Amino acid sequence: MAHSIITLFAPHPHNNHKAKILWPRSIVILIGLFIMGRSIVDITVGLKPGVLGYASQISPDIVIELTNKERLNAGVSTLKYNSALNQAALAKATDMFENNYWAHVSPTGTEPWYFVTGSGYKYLHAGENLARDFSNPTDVVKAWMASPTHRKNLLDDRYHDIGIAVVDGYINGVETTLVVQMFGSTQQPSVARIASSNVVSTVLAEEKLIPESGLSPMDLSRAWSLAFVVLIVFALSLDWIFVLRYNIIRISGKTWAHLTYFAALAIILIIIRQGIVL
Amino acid sequence: MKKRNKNIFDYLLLTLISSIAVILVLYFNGNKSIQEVIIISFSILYIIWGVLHHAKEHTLETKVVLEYAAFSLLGSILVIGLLK
Repeated sequence: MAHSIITLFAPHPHNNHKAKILWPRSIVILIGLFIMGRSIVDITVGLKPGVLGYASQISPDIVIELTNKERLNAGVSTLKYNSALNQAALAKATDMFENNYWAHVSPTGTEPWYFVTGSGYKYLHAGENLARDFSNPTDVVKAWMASPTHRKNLLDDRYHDIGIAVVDGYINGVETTLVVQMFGSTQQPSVARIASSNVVSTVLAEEKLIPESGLSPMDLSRAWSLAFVVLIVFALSLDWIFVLRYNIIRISGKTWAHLTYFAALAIILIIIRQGIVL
Repeated sequence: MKKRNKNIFDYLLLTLISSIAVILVLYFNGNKSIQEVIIISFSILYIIWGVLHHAKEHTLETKVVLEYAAFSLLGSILVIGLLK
């Protein structure tokens, strides 16, 4: 057993002075294992949506809180939660899933203002920010702040109200979490009838956000990829130490080069942001 | 000494390629298709680097090329798998 582990991870006369895990055939097996693991996650998410707590870490309240924090930092007044705008955001997200699109204007030409007006919000100014595939609210707001057009919307002092919808669904067969942020200002307060009917929609929107396991498939995928990189970097480091220590001469690729390549990939895996803003 | 200098140049080149790949991925964060192209290009450049480096050292063999190809395939799949 110990011998097998040694030959798997360290150069030894029995593995032709190269850790078995670094052999091309072992790399092919690792590729197979990686694909298998990813398939299990994808199939689980596909068969039982929510079992991994998809989008569970995006709370609309926190998105509003972070938005207001950014506005305060910029010296702009904070936004008030508005149930009509919230319903508009929810209607927009539902429309995107039903009609299979990801855009401000639907393929049939429906503009965001249609949903705002439809919710009963009589706007003087209105705006919309969209995001998808983020795993937490901080990254969503950060991404909006990093984009000049979204930032302008988010910090616009003409807006007084805000509504947020975070909804799970499928677009083009891929499970997606959409975040719709609606801004607005109105000259007259919303009528009571609209406010009461929106209480239901708010509850529905938040029901989907209750975490079931606290695990996000996105974070799980990142951890799965990183685990393989860590394993390879560990084996390469051991190999490098043994080659230097015992002055092993062999025909093989350069361990230091492999380490540089995988170190870059590790950084890329950490910095990659999975979400998109629109 | 001359050989060591040559190696240093090769490794500096690889470090430069890797750094550019990281910076480009960061710059194009949110644009998955461009990031995929960057990762694939980085992996192909890595194989080319390996082939040229070993050719210079007269240690180029099929199994060496296979090793670089296997590592770059694994690396690409690990990152692209996350982007999908």
